[in-house]
Amino acid sequence: MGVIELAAMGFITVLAALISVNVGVLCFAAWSNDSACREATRAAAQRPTANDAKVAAAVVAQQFTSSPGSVVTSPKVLLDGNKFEYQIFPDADGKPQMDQGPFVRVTTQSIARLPVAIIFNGAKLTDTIAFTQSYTFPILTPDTADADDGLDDALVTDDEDAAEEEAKKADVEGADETIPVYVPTPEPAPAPAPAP
Amino acid sequence: MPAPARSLSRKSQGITSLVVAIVALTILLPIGLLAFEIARVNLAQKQLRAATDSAALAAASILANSSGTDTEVLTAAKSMALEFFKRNQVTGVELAHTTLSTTTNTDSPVKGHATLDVTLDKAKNRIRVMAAFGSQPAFADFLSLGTVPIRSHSLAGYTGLEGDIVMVVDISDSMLNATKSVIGKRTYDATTNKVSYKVVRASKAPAHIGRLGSKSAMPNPLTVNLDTPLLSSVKDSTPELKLAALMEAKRGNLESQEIFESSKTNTGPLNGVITPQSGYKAEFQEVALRSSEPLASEKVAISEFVNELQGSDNAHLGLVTFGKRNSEGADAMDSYSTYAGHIYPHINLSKTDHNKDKVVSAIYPSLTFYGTDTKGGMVEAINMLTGPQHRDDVAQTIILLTDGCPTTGSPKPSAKLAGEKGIRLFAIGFFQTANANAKGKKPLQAMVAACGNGSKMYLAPDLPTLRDVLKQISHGTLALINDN
Repeated sequence: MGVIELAAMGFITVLAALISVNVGVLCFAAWSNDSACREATRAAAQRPTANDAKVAAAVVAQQFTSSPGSVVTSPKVLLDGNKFEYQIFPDADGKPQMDQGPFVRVTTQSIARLPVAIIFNGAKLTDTIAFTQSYTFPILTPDTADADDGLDDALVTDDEDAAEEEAKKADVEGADETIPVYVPTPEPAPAPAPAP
Repeated sequence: MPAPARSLSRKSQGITSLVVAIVALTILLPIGLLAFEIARVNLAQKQLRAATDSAALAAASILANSSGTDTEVLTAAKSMALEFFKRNQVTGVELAHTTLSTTTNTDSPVKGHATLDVTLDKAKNRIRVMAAFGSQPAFADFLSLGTVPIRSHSLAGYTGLEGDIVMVVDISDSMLNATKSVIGKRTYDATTNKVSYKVVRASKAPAHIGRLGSKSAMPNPLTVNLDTPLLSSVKDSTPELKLAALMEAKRGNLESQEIFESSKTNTGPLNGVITPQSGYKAEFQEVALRSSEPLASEKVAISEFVNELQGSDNAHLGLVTFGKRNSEGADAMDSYSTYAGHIYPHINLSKTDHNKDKVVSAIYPSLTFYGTDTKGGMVEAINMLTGPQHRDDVAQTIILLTDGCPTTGSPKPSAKLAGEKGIRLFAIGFFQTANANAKGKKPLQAMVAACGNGSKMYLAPDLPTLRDVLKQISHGTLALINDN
């Protein structure tokens, strides 16, 4: 085999291999980022508040770990601009309007670092490509309920019956009270006879 | 080997290498491109599936809040599905150019365009979304290929509430507070041997209207709606006569001629107008029960809720009611507590029986009993869900329905305990007034937060809203359904 042929063969083989590796990395990055974005959006769509949704999306996205050697980075949720949007179309009371179609949009980004820099960005040689993906899903559990614990205030109120005051004072206990352990519930007793 | 032969061999080998290189370029390269296109189409397929998933979930959410006809629901669902589908993208192409179609199975949209179809199965609370997208391969121009249609479909709907479900129902006295009522005064004058009646107050009942009269002689409720068809013989008569009839019926003076005579009610304005007959008192109580608000509305909503669950054999119900005490801790000293055997209706869970009819039968005749022992009701429900009749490996749910603040201690620890045992809590505030809403909401919020497990709080100020809330709960979770 002549030197020229050998060189040509070697060049073609190496080039094909490098292209294959690069294409493989790009495909992996696109698939990984797409899966991460979809799962992150679905997780965010099941959270009742925008902050919860951001956290849920970030946690899910991070579960898609980077590839060996960090050729493809772990997907990140983008929060700037309109990359992340949690819209419940609140009414005058701040409650979500379900007929308006509350939605959440999540955008994720993965960076693929090519093993061989064969991609030119203008005149500058670059070996990294960013993959971004965005999905919009309906928010399934919008909820404006305040989760603060107002129990202490509420416990002292009673608009039921003044006659219950005495019993109430005796019965009202603090939030740290002990809950009775399980006692097997007996079958319901036969109904008592009506009062005369 | 002679020199010419070696030269010929090298030339032959060089030609072979060149042929191999050409073959590699002409075969391997297209194979590589084909593999790339297949990967790209698969990615597009996944992205289209995500778009139809989004559209199906959005469309199915219509089912929970729509009470229209099938056509109206489908129209709304199509609109919602199209809106969400357009918000997504496939291979970087926005799906803004999407039109509705009924032939997505055969459509071949042009590049970057899509068609969408939505079908409704209202009986099963499911919606199917189908789509076709016109995708052009990356090397289509080079290879002279046209647009390739990519298709996908998604099914979404409500899974239905299943598992062991214990309803914890408030039957405290305030469950009468919204009753239209009249308070009358009955006076017997022995001198003239006449009974007179006077309307003291006709309005919504005060908070403690249930205490009017003798506790031992007359069970709750003592309120009655004047618009009900009670005692039809006096329905259209004067208010005074109507009041007289109602009061006598309530007191039981119309049960028999003997009682009627002895009660002296055969005098005064009733004389000669009403013929005493058996059943008046029972009729009064029946009507009063149906007219006691919000208790009656609560019962109606619960009955409808149970009917919604009839299609699910995997939904087993239990019932706990609470007033001053819970079902197990009924105060035996309270003369109301034994009335008609209906004290604190209680249906235990069963491994083998879904109990649906039993719950409806039990809740209907329940009366009201003083305070609001939310804590006791919760503990009793937890005991049911962890007791010998609970089922393993099924979801466990408590549905708490209350109209007021707890009066016998904090229910928060019980909610926390429920959460630790994997029980989910749906707390419904059936608050009738702004004051009750402001004060009653906080304990429910605390309970839901303490329980976790996807627990939720709902506020229902009226019967229609309560119906919607229970319907929403009965539908279960909105989710994608795998039909492949």
